[in-house]
Amino acid sequence: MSSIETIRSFLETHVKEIGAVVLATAALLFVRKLRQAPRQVFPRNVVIHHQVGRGPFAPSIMPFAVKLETYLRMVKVPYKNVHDSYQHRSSKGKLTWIEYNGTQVADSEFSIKFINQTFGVDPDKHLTEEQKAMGYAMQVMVEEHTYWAVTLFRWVYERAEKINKYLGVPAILRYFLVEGLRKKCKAQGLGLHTPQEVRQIMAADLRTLQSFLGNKLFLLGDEPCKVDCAIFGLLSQMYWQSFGGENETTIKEFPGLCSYCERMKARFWPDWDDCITQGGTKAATN
Amino acid sequence: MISGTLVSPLPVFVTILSILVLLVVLKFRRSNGRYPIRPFPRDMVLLHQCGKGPHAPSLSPFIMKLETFLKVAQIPYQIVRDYKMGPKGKVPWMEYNGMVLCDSQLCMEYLIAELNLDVDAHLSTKERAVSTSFQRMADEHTYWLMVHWRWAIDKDKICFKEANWGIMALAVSAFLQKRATKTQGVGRHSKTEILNIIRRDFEAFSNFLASYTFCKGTKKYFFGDRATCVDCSVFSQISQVLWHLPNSEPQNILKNEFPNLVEYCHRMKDNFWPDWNENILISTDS
Repeated sequence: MSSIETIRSFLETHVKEIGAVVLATAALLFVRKLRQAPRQVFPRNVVIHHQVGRGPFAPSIMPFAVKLETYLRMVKVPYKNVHDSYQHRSSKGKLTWIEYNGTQVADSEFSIKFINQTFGVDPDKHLTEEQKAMGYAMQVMVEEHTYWAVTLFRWVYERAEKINKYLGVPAILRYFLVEGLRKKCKAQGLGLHTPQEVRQIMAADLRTLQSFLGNKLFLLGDEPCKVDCAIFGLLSQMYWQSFGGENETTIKEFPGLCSYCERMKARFWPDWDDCITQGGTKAATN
Repeated sequence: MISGTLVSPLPVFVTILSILVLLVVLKFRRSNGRYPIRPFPRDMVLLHQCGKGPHAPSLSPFIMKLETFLKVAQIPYQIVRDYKMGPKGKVPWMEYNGMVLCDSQLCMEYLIAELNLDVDAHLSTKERAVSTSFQRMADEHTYWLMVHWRWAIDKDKICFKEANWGIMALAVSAFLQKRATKTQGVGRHSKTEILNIIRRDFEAFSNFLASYTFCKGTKKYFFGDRATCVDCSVFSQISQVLWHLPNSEPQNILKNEFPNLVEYCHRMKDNFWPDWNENILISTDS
């Protein structure tokens, strides 16, 4: 009882101070809302691809953004990049999403399904059920397993030092970013292994991809399909944007995958040099 | 020193210090735990795991995966139900001739190398690649979908209650697992989206199982009439849906749309788990 009386007497004697704090908070929130730019109006019948901005040596530092944009180019659907993901995240809180005529779709895989349904396209229609099954397994391996190994090296073991040259995150924030990601990777599971084990696991995944690719031009034959976009999304980060780190050293042990990356780049990104900032030295024109 | 109505500082200081010391000791105890902890029988795997599952040998698919592998490879083993976490804070873990290993996949790879096992020896390079990708998919994707369903979507948690989990254990685990699935990614999807993704995974397993390109002889398992490592993973993950998610939508999808997967699970159970009924809590005829 006495604690309730203590709280009540505290409130009664400090009415002015409490009122001031409440008013100040309300004012701050109101001003913040006013200062937020109004939502942009986008052109109709064009897929708006929300991204974080062009990368230094690949079209994005986010593998799923490279996947999605490569897919949009593959199915030749009209699209426009809007680099505002940091200010406007997807409904799931992620940085890669699309909107089309007012409909918002989060997650790269759901976005692809939406694009297929809306535009009546399907680059996978010539594949057998078995090929689709194997392709799906390869894609899931890359997106749900290799992705975490790459994340561990880029952001945790290398402490994002190499990539931060192009991000400019202050040291104290970078510390929290790195430690937060370390905890996330531990929760996922891969972060519980030693770095040597993670490297072996990553190499095993790449060996799997290279063995499966064999002498084919693309993963499931001589024509690229959706799975190629997914795999290229992650491999592009390892091949072009690891800045000499362990991800790059590992993928270079697999020449089949390196030439696969060059093939995908040549096929879908003839304007590659316009889509990168050349190490932060110029603005990307595309 | 002013005492009087204030608490004397020394006992408070000692209490805080002891709590801090205890936390530090507990943190390091997990990573530097003394293993092995008892004299070991030679050439016999000591498989450390938790309690029996209500309708399948474990509620953990990774414990089932490792134990199924030991049965497939015919490696002599003993179960140790000591509820102690392994070196990486995970179960299952095993001891073999004084070696202590954690993580089901690393344990399998170690035993294959150490004992020169031929479980996957007959597979071609391409088959091994396909096998690895399906194993990654089962253990890193289907697993998380199942975990999200059983902890975040399924409110009844019947099988955990049948396995005598207390209210505190259920509440703490639900909180931790929901946080883990959100970190991993699948926890951000809606229930309908989760069901679609589960259906995609099952479809890939089912179509590959039904296909004959990689078949030598009859197709009882993923690569013909001999069980291989990938069968241990896929069987264990699907068995959690089949036996430990009663009357749920994922189980209905499995039974109604992918009967060949249900037959496959029963085949693995009948051929490799003759002691199934001795390893479950609630014996039924299914």
